[in-house]
Amino acid sequence: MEQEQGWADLQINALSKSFRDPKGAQVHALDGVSLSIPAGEFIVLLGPSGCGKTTLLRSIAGFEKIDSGHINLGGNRIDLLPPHKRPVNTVFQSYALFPHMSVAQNIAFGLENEKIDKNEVKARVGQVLELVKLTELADRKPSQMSGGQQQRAALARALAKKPKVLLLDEPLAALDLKLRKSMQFELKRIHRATGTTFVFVTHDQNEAMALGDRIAVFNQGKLQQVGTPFEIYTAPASEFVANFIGESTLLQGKISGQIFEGDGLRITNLNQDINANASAKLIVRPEAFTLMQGQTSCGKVEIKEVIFAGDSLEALLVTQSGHEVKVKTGASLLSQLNVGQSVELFVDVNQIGQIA
Amino acid sequence: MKLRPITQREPGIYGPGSVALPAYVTGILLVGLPLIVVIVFSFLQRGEFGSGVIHKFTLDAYRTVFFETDLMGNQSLNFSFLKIIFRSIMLAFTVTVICLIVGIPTAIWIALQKKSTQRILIALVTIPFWVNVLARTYAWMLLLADGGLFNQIGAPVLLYTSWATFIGLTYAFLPFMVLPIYASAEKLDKSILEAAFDLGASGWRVLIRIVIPMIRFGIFAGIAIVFIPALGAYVQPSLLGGNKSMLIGSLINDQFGESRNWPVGSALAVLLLLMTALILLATRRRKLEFAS
Ligand SMILES: Nc1ncnc2c1ncn2[C@@H]1O[C@H](COP(=O)(O)OP(=O)(O)O)[C@@H](O)[C@H]1O
Ligand SMILES: [Mg+2]
Repeated sequence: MEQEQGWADLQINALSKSFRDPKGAQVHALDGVSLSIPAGEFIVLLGPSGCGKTTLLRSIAGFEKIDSGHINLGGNRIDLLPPHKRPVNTVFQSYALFPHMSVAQNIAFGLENEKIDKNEVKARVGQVLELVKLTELADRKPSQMSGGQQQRAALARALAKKPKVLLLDEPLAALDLKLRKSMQFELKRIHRATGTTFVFVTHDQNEAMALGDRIAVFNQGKLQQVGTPFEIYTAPASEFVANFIGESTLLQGKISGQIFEGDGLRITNLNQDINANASAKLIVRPEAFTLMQGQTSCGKVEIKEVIFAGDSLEALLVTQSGHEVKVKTGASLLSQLNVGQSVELFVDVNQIGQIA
Repeated sequence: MKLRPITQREPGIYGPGSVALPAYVTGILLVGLPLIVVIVFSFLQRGEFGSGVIHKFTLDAYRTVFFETDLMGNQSLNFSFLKIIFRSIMLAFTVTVICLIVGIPTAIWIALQKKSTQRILIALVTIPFWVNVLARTYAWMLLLADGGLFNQIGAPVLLYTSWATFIGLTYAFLPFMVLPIYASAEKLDKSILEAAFDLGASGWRVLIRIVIPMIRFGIFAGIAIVFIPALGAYVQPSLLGGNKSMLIGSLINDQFGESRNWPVGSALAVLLLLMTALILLATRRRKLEFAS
């Protein structure tokens, strides 16, 4: 088993790919991307629309010819193989089910390409249908199923091939919120049940947080940061990641003697791991700020907007220099906060991050 | 849930007295009336001097087509007409098959090109329509004649053989095969083809199992609009084939011309019409089978 696992490590090495836009200008869809994905991992590729996520997935599947770099799967180079010879399978965003075939036929199609014995095909179709809970709908045509059911069928079709790596391109994007949430749980369950490596593309940071063992954040064809959801959330490596993940506030100013001054705020008693810098950038997540006494004071701010979010209050504040700060604070303060009011802002200094 | 196909007609707007009125008028005047005249003529007596008809009901025309009367007055089945029908069907069938073999890959290939390239290629396919059929057929006569281009590069003289008819018909009908197939191939979702490759299918299997089933309506349409006119074709058989082996189109033409037997010509036309109706019904039935 150990060996089997090692065999399926996915290595992406200095991958580059550019397109020409309609005006003839070069667009770097992938710009020197290197990423190592251990077997069995659920990795999420996260980034804004157009950052190259789909291009990376299509390069792994074999639908894009890469300009440079290589892709290894378990030590074997696969980027020169045609798509149908690669031991990876894709769940397409549009599902791409064959409309003239039933669900069972869709699934069997992939297995029939492998010269697998008929009974074995039947058995495996039955297994994956059960895995995605579609057994009752085996004889339905795609047009006779809901979006969520088609989604499961597409998943089953890809999984039936027992791929080393399953590629999923925004598979839940077309589903409504409730269905999306329940499919997220389903995907986690199916990932555990199969042990296959999942490479999952999304532009939704919440989805990425919910699903990923690790998240790889992309921007403009470049890999920005790879890490566990906790690492990405608590220690964003760049301004881009900080902005993209959650609603963090970026503070710019100067730090000396563990005191930050800038953007209309003054924060004392900074942690020792915050370095002195004449033009420093600090990242503070909304829940690190609070409007309740007890933490380090940052100075006076004005309340611009208050949103009641059930378990908490989300407030948009403006510092004296006009800088906007987002705060998540205890819901119990609701009756005391009014728009236009001036209040004191506090911060938990242990939750302040610094970026270069 | 039963999804209603979006092509389904809204009741009302296509009814008479609506914007569709001009279409009804044209249809009735140009198709309906001549059709009725032909059907009526086929049941009338031959005119005294050959041309025209005498307004008396008779089944003579059909009797002439199906039976022959020998000198002793005995009637027997007229095989010459059945032979002509059989020959016409075989020719139309072969032309259709060749058009399919050439047309399907061509249409798919065009549909896989960039949109701008597709437009150019489709324009090229339709170029022959810009030139009159007769002019194009005369051009083929020059190519296939003794000393013509084909002969010069070593081919035997094909003009006035069944081969020339066959070549002329295939050439004339190929665009009619390519266009409807292209129209449905062009709508194919490329990610479905990618999915098929992704699932390990070779190019050949993707073609047979995915592409062709998905463009089947285009193929049926192509078959119908090639086979039916090829069955009744007149221009190519007479100009290129030299009418050496009689086909039903030429036979009908002869009845109105040299043979001066309008009722028999009409009867033959009615029979041809029945055959095409049967073929259309057959392809329709297949469509329904596939769709369910
Ligand atoms: N076939 C293509 N032709 C031209 N440009 C493309 C093509 N595919 C992708 N691109 C461009 O490459 C960039 C990355 O695209 P994509 O990988 O689809 O991004 P994402 O999936 O992250 O939204 C975009 O700027 C997109 O416009
Ligand atoms: Mg994408």
